[in-house]
Amino acid sequence: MQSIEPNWVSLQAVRKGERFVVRRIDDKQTRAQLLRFGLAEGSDATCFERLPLGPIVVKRRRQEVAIGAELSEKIWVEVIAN
Amino acid sequence: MNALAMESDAATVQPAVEKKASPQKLVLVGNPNVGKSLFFNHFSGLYVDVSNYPGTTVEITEGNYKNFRVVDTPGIYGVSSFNDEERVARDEVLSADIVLNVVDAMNLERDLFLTLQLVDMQFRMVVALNMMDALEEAGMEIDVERLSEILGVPVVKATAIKKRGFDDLERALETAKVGNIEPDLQKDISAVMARLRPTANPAADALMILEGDEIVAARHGLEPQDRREEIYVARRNRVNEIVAEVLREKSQMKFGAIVSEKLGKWTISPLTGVPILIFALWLIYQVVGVMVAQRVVGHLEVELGNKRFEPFVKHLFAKITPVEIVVEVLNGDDVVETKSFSFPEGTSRAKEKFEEFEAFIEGKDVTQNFAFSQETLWGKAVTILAGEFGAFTMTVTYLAFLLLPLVMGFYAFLAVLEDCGYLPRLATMVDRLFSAMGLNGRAVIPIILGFGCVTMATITTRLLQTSREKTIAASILNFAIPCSAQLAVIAALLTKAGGFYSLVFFLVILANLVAIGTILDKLLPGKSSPLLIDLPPMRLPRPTNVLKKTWIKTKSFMMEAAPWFFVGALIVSTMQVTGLLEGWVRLFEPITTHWLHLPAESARAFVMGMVRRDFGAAGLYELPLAPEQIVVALTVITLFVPCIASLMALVKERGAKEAMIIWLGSWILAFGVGGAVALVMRNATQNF
Repeated sequence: MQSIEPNWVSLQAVRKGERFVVRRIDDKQTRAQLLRFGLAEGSDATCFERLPLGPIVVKRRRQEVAIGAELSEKIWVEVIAN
Repeated sequence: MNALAMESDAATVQPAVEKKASPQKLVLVGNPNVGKSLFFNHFSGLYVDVSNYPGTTVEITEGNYKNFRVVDTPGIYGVSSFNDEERVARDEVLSADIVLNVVDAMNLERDLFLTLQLVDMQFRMVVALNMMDALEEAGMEIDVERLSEILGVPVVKATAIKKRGFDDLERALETAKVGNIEPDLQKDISAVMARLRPTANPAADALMILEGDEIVAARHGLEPQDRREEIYVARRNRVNEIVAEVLREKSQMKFGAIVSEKLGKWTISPLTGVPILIFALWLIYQVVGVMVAQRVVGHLEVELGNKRFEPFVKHLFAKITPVEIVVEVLNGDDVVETKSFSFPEGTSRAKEKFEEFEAFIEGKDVTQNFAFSQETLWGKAVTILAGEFGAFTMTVTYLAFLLLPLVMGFYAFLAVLEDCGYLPRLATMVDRLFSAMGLNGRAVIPIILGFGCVTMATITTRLLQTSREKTIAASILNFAIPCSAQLAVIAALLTKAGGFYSLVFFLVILANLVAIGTILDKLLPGKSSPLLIDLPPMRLPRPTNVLKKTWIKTKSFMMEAAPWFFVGALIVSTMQVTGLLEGWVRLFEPITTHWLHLPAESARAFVMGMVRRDFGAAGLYELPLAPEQIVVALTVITLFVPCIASLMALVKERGAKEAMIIWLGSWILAFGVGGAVALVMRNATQNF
């Protein structure tokens, strides 16, 4: 089990408009699926939209991906300056 | 082209005889929504075969082009086995002679992942770079020559919607090549290849095994290797490098691209997204629910089906079957005259009487009710085939004049929503709502379709990812969603009952729907798959694409469902002639009168609801009911068992055991909740 750095938060905690780097994805299948969409561990993206209690829409260049609330808790990110 | 066929890749180890006889298999592969079907349409023309892939329910479309057999596959983000669609696409790809990979130029980063995987599989392939016009609109440019050089395969620019690039593509297919692969990966693939059983594309199978595909590994009697992640990461890095090298921002975004981006943003922002969602649902309701289901179907079913087609068939049988025909003369909706004609030896033996009958109906708007004599076995057989619920009468009318236009309407709308890129956004918007019931946003499609035809929707539950979700969706559909046939009658009855009681009815059904989902979510083991969905850019739907999709889906639904409607009709007609139907009705009378406090005749309506759900509702229409009773009766028929065709679809999709649980459960739920509503209402109003 890798450790979680103090400055990482779950994707669930990211606010709309914030930019972040994906640090760790705690689910093998999700990791593979996100790799296909271009969201690898280490890649940067923006929180494009958040639906109340619902999915988070993440945008990297032109690619938008909606991630369900439950899944977003398994994705660890580091928020960076815009 | 022949030279190409002869040349055949050295890697192919299929028996030589089979190879020569069969045309080359050209497989179209691409991410979802890249316009792949437009390429397929171009190559295959109008005549295509749609088939359900064996063992799954994903559709595969095939056509012919020159000496190629062209196969279209479901849109996928990569070749693997994450879901049914991927498994089907995987097998089609693995048996390809040539691969045409359609890539969305606007989404190079996403799409090249699949492209590189196909290159790594060492297929002879061509890349079609679609949506070049949109790329330009967005102010970007792709160095196509460089891309082709890096990949080692022909890359062709295309704008399929404007039919641009097809000629180049046809030429490029003749020079399809195996692309450049990383030497390290090549080494690993070769090592696995040495251990494979004979197969169409050994390199491709070997890569699948390296990437941990259990099914492909099992085919070769090997263990899958666990190197997917490592290979995926390397591939992702290579994609990013390639994109950085070939993609350039050239100028400012043009107006069209800005609109598409803004629209895309609005559809998922809560403030604007909710009104857009409500507008979309309202539009579906207006177009499909009101226009098609009520106006078009109403006209077709009554005027063509009940008044022309059915009497025509019945008269054929009546020629030699003892029958009594009761004619009702209509003026608008009112019956103004009723006359009965008796033909104890069939109509052909009673010329004068029949002429009298013909003269009577001449020029009048009439309905003809045929009562075939039940005294002989022949009479019973005729009733089964051409009676009230006959296979040649009711079933044909139902399928051709009710279901066909309705299903077509729903699928057309779905195709529009899909084509313009709204569907995944809709799924995102409703995800929260659905996750409370153990589903994710994707389930919005079957649930919406359910309001059209529960049978059609039950078949669509295939789209869902896990068996658990399929069970939950199928249960919600078959327990609590009234189909459009029923909705029309329900709406009419509710108008009688008034606004307050309509609201009560609506809340009771909604509560049931949510309760069923929530309870199943708690009861069923496991967890539902969370939403992870790609949101494609919004764009205008392409009419040809929409029409073709509608046609293909409607056709395959009709082919699949029609037999079950015939089976259903046969069962019910047989029950009718053997008196079983009446027996059931009598069995139900005590429950209806004592527990539900409804008139005894409503038992008949409930029993008929087992056949066709609108029969149940229609039967209630004629009964004198208090508003409270209307609510009780509608609650019962809405929650009551699905129609016979839905039941058959349910058996097919979810298995006999699950189907029977749902079916029997519907009895308990319908009468349980119906009785409870009756109890509450009686105590509250003391009105019935």
